[in-house]
Amino acid sequence: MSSATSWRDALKGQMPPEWAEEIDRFEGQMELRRQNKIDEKVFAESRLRRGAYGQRYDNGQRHDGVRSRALAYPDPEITKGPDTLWHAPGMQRIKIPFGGLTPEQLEVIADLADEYSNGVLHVTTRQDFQLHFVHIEDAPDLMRRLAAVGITTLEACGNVVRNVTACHRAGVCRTETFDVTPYAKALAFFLLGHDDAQDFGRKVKIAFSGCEREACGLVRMHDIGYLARVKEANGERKRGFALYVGGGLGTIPYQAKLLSDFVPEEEILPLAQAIARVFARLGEKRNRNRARLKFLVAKLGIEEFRRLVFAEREALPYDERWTAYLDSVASFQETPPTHPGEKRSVETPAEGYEAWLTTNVYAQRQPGYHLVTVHLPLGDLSSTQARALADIARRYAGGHMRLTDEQNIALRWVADADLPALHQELSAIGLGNPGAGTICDITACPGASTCKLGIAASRGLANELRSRLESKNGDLPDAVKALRIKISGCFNSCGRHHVADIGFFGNSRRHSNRAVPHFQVVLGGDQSENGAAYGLAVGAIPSKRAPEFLDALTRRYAAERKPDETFPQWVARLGKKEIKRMLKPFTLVPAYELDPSLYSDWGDPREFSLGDIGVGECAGEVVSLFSFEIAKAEGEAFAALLALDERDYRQADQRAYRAMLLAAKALVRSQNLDVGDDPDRIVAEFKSRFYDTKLFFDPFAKEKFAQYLLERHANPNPNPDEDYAHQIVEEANLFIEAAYACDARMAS
Amino acid sequence: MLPHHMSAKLFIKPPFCEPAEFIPLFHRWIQEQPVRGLLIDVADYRHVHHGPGVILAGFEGDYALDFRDGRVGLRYSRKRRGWRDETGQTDSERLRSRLERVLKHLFQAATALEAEQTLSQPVRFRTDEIELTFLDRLQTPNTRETLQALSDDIVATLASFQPDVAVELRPTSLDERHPFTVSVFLSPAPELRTLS
Repeated sequence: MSSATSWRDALKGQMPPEWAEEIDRFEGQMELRRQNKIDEKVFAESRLRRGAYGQRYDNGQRHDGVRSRALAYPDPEITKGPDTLWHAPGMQRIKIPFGGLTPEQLEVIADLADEYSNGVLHVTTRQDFQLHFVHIEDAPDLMRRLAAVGITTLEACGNVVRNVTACHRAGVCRTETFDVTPYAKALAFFLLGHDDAQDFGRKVKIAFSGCEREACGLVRMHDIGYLARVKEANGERKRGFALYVGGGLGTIPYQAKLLSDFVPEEEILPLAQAIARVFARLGEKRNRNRARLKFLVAKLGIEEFRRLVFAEREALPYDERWTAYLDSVASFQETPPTHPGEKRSVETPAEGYEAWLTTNVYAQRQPGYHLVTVHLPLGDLSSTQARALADIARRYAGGHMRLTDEQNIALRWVADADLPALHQELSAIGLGNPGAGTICDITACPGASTCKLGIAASRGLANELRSRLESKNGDLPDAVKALRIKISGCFNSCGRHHVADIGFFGNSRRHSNRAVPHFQVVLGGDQSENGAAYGLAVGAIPSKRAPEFLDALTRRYAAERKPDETFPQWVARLGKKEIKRMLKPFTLVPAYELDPSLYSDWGDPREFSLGDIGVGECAGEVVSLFSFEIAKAEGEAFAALLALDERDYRQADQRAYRAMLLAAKALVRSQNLDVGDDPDRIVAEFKSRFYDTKLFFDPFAKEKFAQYLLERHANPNPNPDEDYAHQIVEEANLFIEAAYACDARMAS
Repeated sequence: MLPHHMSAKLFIKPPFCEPAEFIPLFHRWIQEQPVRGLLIDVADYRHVHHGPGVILAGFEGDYALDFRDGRVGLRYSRKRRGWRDETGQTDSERLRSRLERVLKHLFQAATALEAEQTLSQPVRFRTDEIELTFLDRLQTPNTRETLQALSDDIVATLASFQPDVAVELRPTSLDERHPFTVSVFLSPAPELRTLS
């Protein structure tokens, strides 16, 4: 049994030091925010960049179906962001780069779900996990426990590069050009916390795909998308990627444009860095609705954007990380489980085995092995299921799992002979259901259940459709089974309704002076070819009528489609007028007195209201680069103060010095983004730009505060005692104040 | 050994109504506040096999119509760290006080549920068994040492609700990955009204 009384102590030395430091700094910022010493917007962006998101009702208001009532959280004067109460529970996003997950990681996330959330792990459409109803006080320990198994939540939200995703079949796919996994991993960690990726107006989403024709990584709907290509030259096969930019869903979806049809593998990291720089420099910052990369690409045109990116690439200072990872790419491979099939023979497969084999099992390109999709209803699994699944993954998949962008978990490297036993074990924990990748496998964002922006109950509708479809799945024609349904709670497309055959997104209509939950129907999207075609909205129907409409639509499709005609082709042939006509009877809303059920949403008996919609945090908080950087310095200064309390004078000195460096860097970066982290360079740049020019000088104290840093840098104390540590901590705080004053003077 | 997060569960006797009936019921509880604590929202996890079922999410803790391990019951999980322990208490006293608070929340909610007239089947609880889970792997790992360390306090806390009852503890799993969970058997089974 551990004698440690805190996770900080118990996990000391079990995570990269910079991650440990980062979490300590966040804990320091939390304390500063509680004391109202950090601006709430700065703190909001800071926590968002660590994946700590707001959740519905965190403004302290909830409509209970009759009226809006205050939720009496304690200390309502303390906030963790604009209109976001400190004590209101929130959502923690845990990003899993390229969806790659180990059993040990899954077990830890299950523990976190037990202890800090409600025992449920939710898989998102971008290969993240989300835990809901988490108290902010638990966030630092939660982050430490993740970091100890190699997961960082850093940049899971906020205006940064979000999780880098990749096709879950990468490496085992029969049609891929090559395995994109090591490239996705390298880019994810290269851009994590990168100086050039900290000053965006909005988030950036990146995806990797190995196949042109499949849905794969859906690179055409991402800000930046890499599609694997091989070029033959001089008898050699050279790996690279077609590079797409400026795609995205959201309210108005954009197809990505081709920036380059072949970027050699050694150029993918520097080009991403160059794109980040151009976006940071020229992207919109004030109007969030126009701040995604897609708007910049559209505004400049792809030719001009391309010119700027390649010019920026030429100007980048060399970074050895651009190619350092390439040595390990060739040797990157997963180890299949040893002795596949041994001792796991099953005499009678569990019920539903054949159906499961058809829909959930994909033959890998490696003969004798399969990728098995574990179908998670609504992307959810319990902590108990998660622990059991971790064991199953060890036994049958060599521990190799990937989260999928359809909110499932894929087990890789399952041997032929193990399939019946695997299905039996999955069935025993309620995860042996067939239907993965079919009409029953519905994707849905959280919607009005927990999202602050959600209008309608996307999960409620998805659950209703799923149960109805599963109950008649055996009777559905194959063409209908093959359809995909995706549902978003609002127009922001987190459920990816644009790339579904049949998409829905939540909205509201008024009838007899009451709000009625509706879903806009989006038809004709196509996720194949990396999300090649977006569907179009054809009209809104009341939420409660959506199942009837789906039934009518799919029956007609099955009856009228020509051989080999796809759903989007059938929709196009049918034409908008006919679709509208078909939709019409489902749009009718009876008077409330006749049928009040239409005035509430699926899974929520409250009379529908828009009163709970808040301000979303998807867009993060737009704070100046200086404000964000200086907050890091404040966190460090606070950590120095804590070290002083603990009589750790060496630590106090180091932290205080680092706080001054960070404050100096915050100023320098407003003039030179490339300052980096080397203390000599930061001090030299600070001296030439702010000391020699006297910009940093206080009107009365003159160079005094600048001297604190210059002196500490030039003459570190090898044996700091209490007096010295006390002094340097004081100086760090004064230096930070002087940095603020300097920034204010420059702004005026 | 003083855990921050813990839960207690009472099991429901068959026959049992449709779990979906708990969704409007819990929404009504938010309006009418028949149970302790600040209530926030209702989360429907009926689609999760042997999962937390229907949750009435609160600030200090959650109530749930819970299906874990395939056993239906009412569970109260204390989630918030801030316990506001009295100063000068030993860890043992703090643990008893925390456990007592968790059980009071559970018993009050169970009593409210048995009084519900809106369900298609009245809910009746078994009181011969209570499941306690200590959701804090650092303070209370799932080990025999933890059982040994906590047993007296658990027994004493239960005895404070019903002095003449015999209390027997049985850990539900020896898998160290699982949260430390004990089934507490009470004999004779007390009346719910005496517990609440």
